[in-house]
This record gives sequence, C-alpha cells and structure tokens, in this order.
Amino acid sequence: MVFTPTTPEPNSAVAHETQTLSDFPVGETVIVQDIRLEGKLRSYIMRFGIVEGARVSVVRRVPLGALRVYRIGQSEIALRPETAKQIVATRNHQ
Amino acid sequence: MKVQFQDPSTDDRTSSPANTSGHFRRPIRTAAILGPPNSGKSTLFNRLTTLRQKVANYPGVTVEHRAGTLAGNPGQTITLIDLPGVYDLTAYSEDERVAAQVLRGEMPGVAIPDLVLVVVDVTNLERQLTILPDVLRTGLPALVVLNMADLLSKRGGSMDLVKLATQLGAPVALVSATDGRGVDAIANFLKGNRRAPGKSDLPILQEASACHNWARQVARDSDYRPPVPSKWTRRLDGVLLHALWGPLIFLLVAVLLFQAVFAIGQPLSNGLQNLLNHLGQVFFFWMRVGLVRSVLVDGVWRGLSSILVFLPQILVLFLFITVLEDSGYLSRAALMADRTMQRVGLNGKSFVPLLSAYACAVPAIMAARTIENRRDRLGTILIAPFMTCPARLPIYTLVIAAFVRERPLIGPLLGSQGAAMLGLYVIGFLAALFTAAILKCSILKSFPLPFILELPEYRWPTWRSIVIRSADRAWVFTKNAGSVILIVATVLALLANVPFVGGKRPGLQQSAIGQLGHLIEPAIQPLGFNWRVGIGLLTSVFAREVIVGTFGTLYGEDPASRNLSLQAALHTDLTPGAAAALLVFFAFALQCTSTLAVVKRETNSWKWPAVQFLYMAALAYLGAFVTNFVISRLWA
Repeated sequence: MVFTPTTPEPNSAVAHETQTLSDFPVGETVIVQDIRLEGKLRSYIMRFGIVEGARVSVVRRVPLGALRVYRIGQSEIALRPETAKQIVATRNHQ
Repeated sequence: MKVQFQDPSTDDRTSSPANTSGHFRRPIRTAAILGPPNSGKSTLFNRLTTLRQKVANYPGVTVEHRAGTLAGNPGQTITLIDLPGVYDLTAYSEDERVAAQVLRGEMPGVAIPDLVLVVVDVTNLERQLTILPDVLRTGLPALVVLNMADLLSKRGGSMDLVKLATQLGAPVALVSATDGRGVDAIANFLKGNRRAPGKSDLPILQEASACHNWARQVARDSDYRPPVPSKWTRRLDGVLLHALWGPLIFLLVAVLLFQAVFAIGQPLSNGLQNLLNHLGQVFFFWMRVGLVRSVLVDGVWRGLSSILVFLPQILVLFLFITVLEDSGYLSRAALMADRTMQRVGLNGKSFVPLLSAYACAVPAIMAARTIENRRDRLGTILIAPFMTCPARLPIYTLVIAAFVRERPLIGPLLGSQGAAMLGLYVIGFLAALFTAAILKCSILKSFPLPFILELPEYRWPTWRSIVIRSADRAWVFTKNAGSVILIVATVLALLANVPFVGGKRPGLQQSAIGQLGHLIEPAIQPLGFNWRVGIGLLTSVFAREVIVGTFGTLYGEDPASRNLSLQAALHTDLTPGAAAALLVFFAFALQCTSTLAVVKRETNSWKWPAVQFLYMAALAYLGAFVTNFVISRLWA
C-alpha cells in the first residue's frame, strides 16, 4: 500500500478535522467519519464493520510491532498503522 | 433460549404471493454450507458428515472442494458441500469467486445446490448477517444457521428467533456446532421432504454501508441483545499480548512447536523408516535378487515408506496448529510476528509455516493453508523449502566431517564444524529472504489488500476437531502426494537397474542413471563436481539424504576407494572448493519429490512446483559455482 509517512500535525482546528484512528490513544472511543480509500480497498475495510458512523474503541497495542487492536461492536480487529491512518475519526462526545 | 428452530413458511405468511413463488416439494440432494471465516462452519460440516468426506480441488484454483454425505431417508443421500469461509460474494479473493460460482451453478462438475446453509456466529450477529443479502439474492432456498448458541446464552445474550425468521423470510436454526446442540434439527430439516423455503423479498444492497445498516436494523427488530464480551479473552489478552510477557510466551510457544516436530515427529519418522526398511527386507527376502526385486524394494517399497515416514511429522504439526488455531492463540502470534514478516513482504500468518519448515517443508507447506491471503500463501509456499530441514543434515555432516578440521572458535561453545553447520542454516535463511524480496517485486506484486486480522475469542479446542483435522491432512498428503512419490521412486529404481550388461543387472556406474551422471559431468565441472557427484545429484532428486547412500555405493564399487571410509574417500576425491560448493548446492536446491508433490497438491497446478524447482536449481548452480570459484582461488 502506498502511503506517505505523516508527521504529527500541530494542534489546530485543521489538524483536529483530519485525525485518524492511529492518532487516538489506547482506551479512547471514536466515531468513524470517513475512509480515505477508494473502490475495492474501501469496501474491503467496510466488511470488518468499519463504516461511517461506526463506534470504534482502541483496545491495545500489540507488542513487537506497531499494530493495534480495535473493538467494533462485538468484534476485535487488528490494523497496521498504515491502514488505521486511512480512517478518519473524531472523539466520541456521548 | 427455548425456540431452537423457526420456519416462517409454517406460519400464516405462507400463503402470501411473495413467498409461494419459490416453494417446491422435492427432496434435497445437494446442500452447500457457507459462512464467514470463524463462524464455525467447518465444525458444523464435520458434525454433520463425520468421516464421510471427500477432498479435492476445484478445477484450476487452489481452493479445496470439500464434500461429505449425510444419510437421509431410505434411498436418499444428501451431499453437503463445505464452501470456503467468505464475508460476502463480492469475489475479491479466489475463495469468494469459487463460492459465488458454486451458488450460481457455474462451477464445472458441481451441481447447483438445492439449499444453502448460511452459518453465522450469533454472538456477533450484526457483523455476520451482512453475508445474507448476497446469498439470498442468488434465489437459492436458504436455512440460516445461528451458530455458537452456547456462548450467546452463557454470556447473557438473547434474541427472538420468530422475529428474525420473519424478517429474513427464511427459516433459522439456533445451534452449537461445538457441543452438537440443535445440529439434529438441521439434519432433520435436510432429510425432510418438506417445503424448501422460498425466495425472500430482501432489498438489494450493493453498498457495504447500506448492508451494515440493514443488518443492524434486522438485529434490532429481532430484539437481539449481544452477549457481554468474554472477560476471559480480555484477561488472557492482557497477558498474552502484554508488552513483556507477550513476546516471551510467543517465543516459548515457537520453541515448543519447533521442538515438537523436530524432537517428537522426527524420531518417530526415523523409527518408522527403520521399521519399514526392516519390513521391506522381510517381505521380499524370498524373491530372487534381480530386477523385479530391486524395483519392488528400491522403488515401490521405498516410495511407499517415504510417504508414510512423513505422517508422524504431519500429525504432530497439525495437532499443534489445530490447538493453536482453535484456541485463538494463532491469531495473536500472527500479530506479534507481523512486523518481522512484513519486512520480507509477507504477513504475520506466514510465521508458523516458515518456522515449521525447519523441521520439514512438507507439513509446513500444508500449514500455509492458515494464510487466507492467496498472495502471501503462495509466497510462503515458495520460500519454505529454503529453511534447513533435517534431510539436509546427512550430507552436511558427512562433508563437514570430511573437510573441516575441528577446532574451538568460541571456547567450548562453538567449534569450527558447528560454525560451518550454522553457516549453512544462515545461507538457507538468507536465500529465503532474497527470494521473498524478488517475489515481492515480481509475481506477487499485485496490489495487496490491507492486512486486517480479526481476533477470535479464546476457546478450548475440542479433541474432535484436533483429531479430524490432523487425520484429514495426513490423508490428503498420502493420497495426493503419494502417487507422485511412488512414480518417481519406481522410475529412479528402474533407471538404476537397466540396461542389463551380459544378462546381468548393471552396477550403479553402468546403469542408465550412472551414464546420465557421466553425461552431465561437463555441465557440473565448473562447480568442481565429477561424475560421482553427478550421479549423487540425480539420485537425490528423490530425497536429499539419498546422496549419502549413493556415495557409499559408488565409492564401494571403486577398487581405489573400496577400503577407505566414506569420509576419507570423499576427502581424496573432491577439492575443498568442490566440497563447499556441494554444501551450498544442497542448501539451495529443491531435492525433494515430496515437497514438489505437496506444492503441486496445494497450488493445484504443476506450474508452481516447476517454477520453484527450476529457480532453486538455478540458484544452487550459481551459488555452487561462485563458492567453488572463490574457494579454489583462495586455496591456490
């Protein structure tokens, strides 16, 4: 997958809008706003329940690597950071 | 939960025009089982068809066609087809293409099923229901099997089956394939000459998010209350995926797995080999020494034995892998190994197969089945034979003992002979990395789907499943790889026994294979090899360890070396450059008919074993050439 390494953006309103799953700490629950992927990849990710409006919580970091485990509904899935970076999300204010 | 089975066609909706169209009365002959991965679909299949199964491959693809039979009413046999685990029928993967083709009746040689059993994990209903619109749209009658009922009730989940069946317009059954609860109801449903359910009037949902919304709505309207997440899973993950304990336990499991195949499987295989050799002597002792006996003993019997000796290793490895996979730990191990495997262009699921390849490539290649992604699975299969398996050790030990003088390198810890051996393990590993890098930018370059792994909850593996899966793999290997091995062994034995010289069988040197060894001498001279090594390379196409026996025969036949030990004979016959080149050749070459046969079986084509054999032979030739060249220069 092609992705450009992103450096942490400064805290600003703009940065807040483009926060992705990989930006939130373990324990946080967020709402998926957008999936920055097209076509096949987009619907592949959606199969795992990552759809706009879905509630996702960051469960834990996997040792020996950068993967993290997320909970969506009843299931837990692990994503590589380059995938998590394509999923735009905002903090759940409920 | 009281209701175990609910058929909407038995309520008064039956008369509605939307439902009657698809109704017909006829016995079910073929039913297909379909469901997402981890829905317990195969467990259910095994429950329904125990030991009455047939495994083959669908034409032209790596996907297994697994069918079993179920005794119905007198005179009725129901064939159950276990389709691969898929999330929907979008046809991203080979698995999904196959499932879709079977359901549409487009798969050559497979009858269109009369009914589809759609198996979903009821503890995760909202997610798993999304498979339904795709299946129901095919127009095939369906029975929705809600599996893992035991977990749902144990963890305080519940739902209204009547409401669900009514909404889906299809009958539903609540079962637990693990403990067998409710499975009889499915069997009876299949046996019964009852009306198969009709086409339902479900919306057409092409868009993934629409499909998810629909599933959420259906679950809500069926009063679905999801079970509370398993406390045990969370607690266990706290330890097994802990920053410190996680990797330590992972290491321990990896060592245990390797040790089990190496220290339990290997001695069992060796013991079995000795027993079979002995039996061979006993069976054929009464026959006159001659061509027929030679072909029978060295060909057919040796071929047969070499198939059987793999069974202990296959059984031990699959016993282990089934426990790891069914318990849920394999997914966690894959996560921890992912970073490392990603560097060589594969994913974490390749770790276990590649580790087991150090014990034997044959079960390892079969274990690559746990990798769903076809691209990564093929990559794993192609690099697995580079891992140093014990079949290489006889020639390694012989040559090292003959050419490397033992002296301590790091005190008593590592001597020069041990270092040479270690070096051979390292170059095998490096060749695997090199090959993975080549694959990554050539044949496996296709746009990869992101690696997303679903973590199943931890469960106790059942004996039933462990036994069925290990036996299944052993049988698949024996049946499919067996025929190839038997043919190659017989042909090699024949070639070693013809043409007759003066009415008598030829010595190995005069035989067809011996002459072939002489013939290829010019080709292998740049590697420093003479015709004896040539014959050794040819006979060991069957199995690497055979070369030591061949050397024994050849040096024994030669008056010049007859009285020398094999080590001494080799030492006088080969230059140090040639000896090192021979080691490198064996580190890289795919001298193993069993591996070729199992790759053919797992990829369902001769293309991949051929590519793999030629590539590894070329690499072995090149490596041996460079080694001989460099060492003979250094020595001179």
